[in-house]
Amino acid sequence: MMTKSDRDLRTFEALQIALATEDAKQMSTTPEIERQVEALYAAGRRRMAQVRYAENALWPVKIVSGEIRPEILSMGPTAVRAKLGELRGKHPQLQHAHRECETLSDHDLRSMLEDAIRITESKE
Amino acid sequence: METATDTAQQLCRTEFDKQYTKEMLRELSKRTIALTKRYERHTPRRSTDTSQDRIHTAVMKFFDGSRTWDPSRVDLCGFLLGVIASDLSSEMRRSKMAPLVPIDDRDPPREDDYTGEPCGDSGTSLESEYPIPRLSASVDEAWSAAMSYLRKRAGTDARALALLGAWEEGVCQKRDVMMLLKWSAATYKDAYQRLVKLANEAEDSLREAIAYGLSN
Repeated sequence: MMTKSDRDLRTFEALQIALATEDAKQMSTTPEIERQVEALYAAGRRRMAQVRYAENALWPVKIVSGEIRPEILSMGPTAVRAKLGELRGKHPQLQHAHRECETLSDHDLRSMLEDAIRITESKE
Repeated sequence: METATDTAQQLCRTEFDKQYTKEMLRELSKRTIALTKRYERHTPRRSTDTSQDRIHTAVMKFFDGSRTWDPSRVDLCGFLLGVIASDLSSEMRRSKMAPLVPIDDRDPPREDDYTGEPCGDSGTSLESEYPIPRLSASVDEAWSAAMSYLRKRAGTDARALALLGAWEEGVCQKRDVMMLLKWSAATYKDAYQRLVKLANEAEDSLREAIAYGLSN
């Protein structure tokens, strides 16, 4: 809980900030301020980049090749759908969009099968 | 899965990216210089920290999470200036708690004393010679005395008093004050200008009130 002196301190700070804000309106931008701005800007941006870099290192993005294996490329759409159905039966936890696969192009269909095989291979 | 904390952090970083501009830093630098000068009028000694050091420290406090910024309440410039003001207040406290003592005032050790025992009177420990600073009530009383003086000085100026009251409750942002007091922008501006004028006029007495608190 805040004491009276805490509240007085907060008021004092708010007042000093208000007065400083008014004082600052009368100040011109000196070369020293410009130099300071450049240094602070670079330091702040660098620090933000470091934070983001560190976060990305904690959660690495798994880059998967978009390559489709030749066996799948040689398959027709019906065979691809049948294979997908087979995989779903074997791995009930496998989920994918466009379950009926009716609206997908042949390429997308093959790409989906490639992804499904890779995912299930890693589980086996 | 994202948590609420992650989302708040992301929002802060996005806002930081948007608001951390050279223009903002130019404004912040000027305000920091002015703020430091104002605080220095109340402190017995001057810090060696430059305004750049102070801004850099405030930015680092944002990054290490020791100070939390709520972008929905205050812009980045206002937030960083608040951190700097808080640091300056703490320095005022510290300067009172650990006053500068001229080196000549301390008992020098005997020239032939090579025992490695603590200097000064026999029987004194290092701790008693360098007591751990504890919060002095009189430092906090300094703000109270200064603010009481300002309230008295405001007299019957209802708007200036209402604005001081809002600040006391921690409502410092223009938008929040306007909402709390149901004021228009023009009313806020009028009250703000009156209070700034009043504080500027009372500057010397305020300084005296604080100096008195600090010296007791």
